[in-house]
Amino acid sequence: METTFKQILKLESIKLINYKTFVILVLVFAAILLLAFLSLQSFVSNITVNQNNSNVPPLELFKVYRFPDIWQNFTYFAGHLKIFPAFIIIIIITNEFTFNTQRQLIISGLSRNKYVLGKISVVFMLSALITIFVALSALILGLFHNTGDYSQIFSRKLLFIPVFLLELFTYLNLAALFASIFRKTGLALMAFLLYMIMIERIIAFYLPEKIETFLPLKAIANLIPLPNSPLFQLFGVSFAEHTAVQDVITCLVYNAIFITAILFISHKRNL
Amino acid sequence: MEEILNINGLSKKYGRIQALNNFSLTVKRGEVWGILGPNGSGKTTTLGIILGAINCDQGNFTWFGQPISPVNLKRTGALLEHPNFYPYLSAEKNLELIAILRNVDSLEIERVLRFVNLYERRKHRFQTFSLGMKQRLAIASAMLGSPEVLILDEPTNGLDPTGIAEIRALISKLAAEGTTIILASHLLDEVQKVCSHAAVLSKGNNLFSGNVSEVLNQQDIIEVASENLTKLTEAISLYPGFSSCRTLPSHIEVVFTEKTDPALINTFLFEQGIVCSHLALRKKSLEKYYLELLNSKIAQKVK
Ligand SMILES: Nc1ncnc2c1ncn2[C@@H]1O[C@H](COP(=O)(O)OP(=O)(O)OP(=O)(O)O)[C@@H](O)[C@H]1O
Ligand SMILES: [Mg+2]
Repeated sequence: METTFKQILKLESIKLINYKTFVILVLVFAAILLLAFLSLQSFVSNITVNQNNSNVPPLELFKVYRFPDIWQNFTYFAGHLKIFPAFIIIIIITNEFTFNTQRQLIISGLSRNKYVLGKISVVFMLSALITIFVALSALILGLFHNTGDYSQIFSRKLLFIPVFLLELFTYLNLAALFASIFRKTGLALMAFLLYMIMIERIIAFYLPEKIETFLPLKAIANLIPLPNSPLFQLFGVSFAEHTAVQDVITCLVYNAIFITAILFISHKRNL
Repeated sequence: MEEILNINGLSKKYGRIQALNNFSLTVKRGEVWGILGPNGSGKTTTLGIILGAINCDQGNFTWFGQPISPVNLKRTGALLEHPNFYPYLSAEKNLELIAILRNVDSLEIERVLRFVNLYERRKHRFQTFSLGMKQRLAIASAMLGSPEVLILDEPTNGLDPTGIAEIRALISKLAAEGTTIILASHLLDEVQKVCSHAAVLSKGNNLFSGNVSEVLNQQDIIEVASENLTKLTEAISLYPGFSSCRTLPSHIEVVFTEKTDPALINTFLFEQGIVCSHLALRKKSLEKYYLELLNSKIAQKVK
């Protein structure tokens, strides 16, 4: 009998729910996110206050928790912490090589394609879980600081939530690809960090600006533009208000590339 | 009889090392094959290939007459090299994963855990197990759902004497029930005790494959003693099929070129006027045969 998707999900969930390291890392990440969201206003106001000290005309306070901007503010800010779940994904995937359990599953009758499908499902679930957490935090904190106008909750900016899901999914798939290539936890983590901090930047340096935006991390970062604050408006700088379709397409294409590469590697390798 | 596994000219190279060279083998239902060979001779490589874990360079193989697929891998239970489990999961949870994957009833988990004497420790994490216990869990995992074929790569590795005896008894029992078994080992004694067939590998080359009892029967040794060993030697050398004879202080050892019956020898000697004080048939150990085989092939290569 062929393995069903339900069986695959059951296998992955047993592996993760009983893995203390995973549960703790997820909870720690949730705590970090929550703490960051709660202190976001004072953090941003601090910058504004500093500005006021130097003889600049007083700025309108940048209200972080105001609907509908909160959707963008929270997703933009949370996007800067996505390295944390990337580490979790790298640990989960390289563990299967370290423990040699991938081999055991495959000789027990799990196809390589379905093994990869299981891992991509985990990437998707983790992305979805974080997205839901960020969306709920935004909704609750937004309502808490709300001054009465609920009509602004549902605006075009709500689209930043699914876009955030795409951002995480693409980024975590890239991490999964690094894990499949390097197989050892430490090595994969280092290679991923190195790529983030240096390699892509070096590549970008030699590319024309037009093409540079198509590099994976660039395209992922471009999905959610920097929120326009009164501070930036003061300097006459204004960022895009919405996600560009081009970036969405680029990220979708990257997902296809990453998943195909992971599948290719898993078929070529001896276990 | 139905062909379970058909291996045809498998070869595998790791860089410059020829791990397996043009290996062919046919396993039929109910046979118990021992794959024998010293360390690094290609046993694990062979099993890894037929289980789909290692890609081969040349050759092909079929399971149940079909190309390898996840569906026919679910009809085989395998232990490949080391026991591989999630260290943070309990014995029970680790088996549950395999049971879910293979659509095996969860009641099976208790049965196999009891069988390998790990039931009391079922709630304990795999990482807290001793080597022998890990090995037992791996055997339990391979047995889960009573697959038609068992593939065991050094199943008694790391086990205590009781464990070794139990596993051998298990293999014999499963074989008697009709399970087809492929067992890799460098313990010749093990293969001799439980296998019906053997394939000998050396540096990836298949030196011999065939029926174990045939090999052994051709190599029977008869121990005989009587009052006068010189007279006895003279007499027995006239027996049809006599090959060679070695005189020891208390008795002589005789080897015949074909299968012989001790009762007939006794009658023959009695007719010559010799009364035997001792007459015994001793199977030549496969180990001796195996070492001779390895040496002769190595000698051939040197020439
Ligand atoms: N992943 C690998 N990379 C490189 N060489 C390998 C690899 N796996 C096996 N080999 C080589 O292939 C040859 C056969 O190895 P294999 O593991 O099949 O031997 P084995 O008969 O199972 O030995 P043992 O009795 O020690 O388990 C050896 O020379 C080994 O060094
Ligand atoms: Mg081996």
